[in-house]
Amino acid sequence: MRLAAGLLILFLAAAAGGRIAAAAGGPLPGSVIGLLTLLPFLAVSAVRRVIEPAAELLLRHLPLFFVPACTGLVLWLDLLAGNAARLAAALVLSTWIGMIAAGWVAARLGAGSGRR
Amino acid sequence: MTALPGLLMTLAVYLAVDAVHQRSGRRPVTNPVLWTVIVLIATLRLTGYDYGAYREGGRLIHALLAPAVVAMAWPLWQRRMLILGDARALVGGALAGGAAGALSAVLLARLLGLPDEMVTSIATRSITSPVAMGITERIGGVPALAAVFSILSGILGAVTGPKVMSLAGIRGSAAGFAIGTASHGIGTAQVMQEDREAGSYASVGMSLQAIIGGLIVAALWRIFG
Repeated sequence: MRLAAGLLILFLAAAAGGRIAAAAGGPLPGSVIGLLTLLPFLAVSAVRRVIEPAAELLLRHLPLFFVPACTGLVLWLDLLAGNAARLAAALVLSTWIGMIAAGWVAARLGAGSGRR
Repeated sequence: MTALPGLLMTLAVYLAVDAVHQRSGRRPVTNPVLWTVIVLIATLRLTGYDYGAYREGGRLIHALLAPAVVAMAWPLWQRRMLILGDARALVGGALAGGAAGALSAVLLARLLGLPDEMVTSIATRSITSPVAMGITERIGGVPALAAVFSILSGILGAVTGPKVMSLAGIRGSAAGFAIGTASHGIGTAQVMQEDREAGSYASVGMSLQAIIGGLIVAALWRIFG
């Protein structure tokens, strides 16, 4: 019962977020708008009790849910193969640049300093 | 009925690949999504099974994606004290890491002469795949490319992140946060295995990027797109 109610809320929040995203435009996808809409309601303990089992179930299997969309890659294989080396260079360097920037700024501003 | 082959194929391959992933000690390079996609694409190619027909079944699984992203509100809520206690450092780091990562990816992709679809789809590569797909659709990218670029960045960050952080002299919570920021769920899982405290920070880095990453990418797109 709790699981079903939790899943219902997650689906409704996703659907509502999708509607808002479609109407409002802007860069945030409906699922993120749904997440932000749900967040304040988690202050209510009854909502938390219902959401917890449903959220943990969906999050445990999250990787499976984006497999079908990734399989769309089949339409892009030639493009990928023709650009593999340059793509790898762009991904490697930008991952490191983003990581160092995030870590450097977070450390400068004292992330975790209260705990360690 | 037409949905059945695609559905069964996806579930069977995922279960098999995930079993290998668990048994090999959950190493980033055995990432279950990446290998499931590789096996599925190879299967479609070898059997000549129509991708359009596959999608009929894939749609049923894909329908769970948006509610699962909404479910990310739950871990975010659980870590609210950690986030509020360190808000300035974490939001600052998320903005800096997100902007530097997205901007360098787009500029490098342009500089190296990658095709336009790839340049657009690479902007979201530090954002967790399910959210990256949603964002890239809204700026004219290709969801499948964006998702795979995110997964590759995740694997890369998980494998090289700890070494890169120690070379850069960044340690502890800040290093965990940075790895989560640049390589989302895959990086977070890796950090979590080594240090739960740093892993919490990695998880927060990933969540913040999922929320503000879209705003960062949209802002950069308006300026440089």
